[in-house]
Amino acid sequence: MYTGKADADEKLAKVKFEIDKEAHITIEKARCLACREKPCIPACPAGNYTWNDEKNELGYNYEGCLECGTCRFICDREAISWSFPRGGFGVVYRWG
Amino acid sequence: MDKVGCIVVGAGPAGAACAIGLARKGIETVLVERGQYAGAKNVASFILFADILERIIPNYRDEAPLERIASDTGFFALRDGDFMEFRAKSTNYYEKPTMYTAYRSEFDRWFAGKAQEEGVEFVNGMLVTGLLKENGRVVGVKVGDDELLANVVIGADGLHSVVARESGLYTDDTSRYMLGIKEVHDLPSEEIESRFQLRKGEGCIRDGWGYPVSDIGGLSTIYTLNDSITIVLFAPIDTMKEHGVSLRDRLEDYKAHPYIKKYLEGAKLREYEAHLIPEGGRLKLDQMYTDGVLLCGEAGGFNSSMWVGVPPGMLSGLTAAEAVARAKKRGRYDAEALSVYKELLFETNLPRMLFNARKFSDWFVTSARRNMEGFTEGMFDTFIEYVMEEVNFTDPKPAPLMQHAYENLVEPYLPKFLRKPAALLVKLLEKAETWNKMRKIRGAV
Repeated sequence: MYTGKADADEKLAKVKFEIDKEAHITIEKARCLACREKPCIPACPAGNYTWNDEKNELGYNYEGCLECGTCRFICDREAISWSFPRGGFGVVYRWG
Repeated sequence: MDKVGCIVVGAGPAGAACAIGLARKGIETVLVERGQYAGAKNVASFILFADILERIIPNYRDEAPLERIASDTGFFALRDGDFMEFRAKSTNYYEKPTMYTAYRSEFDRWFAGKAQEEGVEFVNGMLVTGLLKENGRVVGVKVGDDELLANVVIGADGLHSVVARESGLYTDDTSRYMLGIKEVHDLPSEEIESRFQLRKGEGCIRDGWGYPVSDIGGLSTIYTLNDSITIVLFAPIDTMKEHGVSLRDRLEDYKAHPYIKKYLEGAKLREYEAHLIPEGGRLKLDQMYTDGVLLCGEAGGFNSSMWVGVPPGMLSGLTAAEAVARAKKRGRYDAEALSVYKELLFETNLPRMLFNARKFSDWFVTSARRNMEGFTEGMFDTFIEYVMEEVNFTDPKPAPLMQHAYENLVEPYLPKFLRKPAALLVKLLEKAETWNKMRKIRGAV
């Protein structure tokens, strides 16, 4: 399973975020247990999805979301619901 | 609350162009943007063709935040360690520019400001969460607990359009979605001009094919801004999923390739971005409007990775504005009155663009991207290996060019049952051609 996360943190450090206390990503974690491929983990360009072995559940970090929305379409089990963050929050691209 | 003429959702190029068009026709317009400023959520990956912009803001050259004149365009193919390059440099375009590189964060902010100057009410940091309906007809938008009423709601809110989804106009075809990830790297202006052999203020844009995304049918782009280099890597999300690929890892391979590495030497990462784009647009013009709603820009599918998104976005926005003005004359904003949008679109090249983009996308989705690895190898084989054979002085016969081209560029696309007979035919033709060529050489010397 893909776990490479290190370089994403370095990249995300260069991005400005206006972090909301309200998450714009919610996950039905029970659905992930039956998912073998877990395509969200490698697909997320921000590396925001990781598998937590201790808790045996999908961990995610909505604060570092680049808002491409790939996870919305890549999950077969409709476990991930992604929507826009509230107005003014989320990623703030300065050099898009 | 008072009802306005139009609410435009999304202040990208399409939404702002539409708002400008509406304001110029005297229609009271509110332009709503979810980002902290227009452009805060937007990611460019290509040059800005300014023809449509010039129609809207004739003196844009004096004030738009443009970076470099994109008169140096090119194409390259990569395989591990190797590259091939084709470049076109135009003095004409450099002197009379119509193509530029720009940051969307700066450009969109400026362009939305132009809408404000025209009298549009611009609200940023506001997310439209849903549509207000009355008897099934859209009469406004929801902003959290607040409501905004309007005769027409224009959806210019991108691929993830709330307006298109809530009005039932959207159908997702994820096999056509491409993820693009992008890095902007700092490099001094003079250094960029010397590395890319550019004239002062000139920018280059080069589209890449092959390594390190040929197995997943991806593409890449490298382009220059005033004091930065941007690299972008694209891949269809369904092949990424099929192969369990991390595009972010592939970007590291890309940067390590000698062709890209020499440009990025010593450059420092400034920003990292990601965006999803629809490939091949949405073909159905009947799904661009309904009672009280029009779609333009990416929300209407007027974008494709094979096509630039900004000019068609602006043009569809302007066309939507014209459609609203026509509907206003009739005093009706139902689907029938707004269907004039479709007729007006046919006065532009947008239906042709959608059709061509879709046809290209069909070919790309069903065939090309599955065979990209072979195609890339084929290009190198045909150009490099063929040349090596041709300059081989010990072999009296000409290199079998036809066979090379057939094996690498044609055969992968033929149905299996045709491959054997076709290969035999090409072999025979090649033999005949070789015999003929040798006969001519004997006769001539």
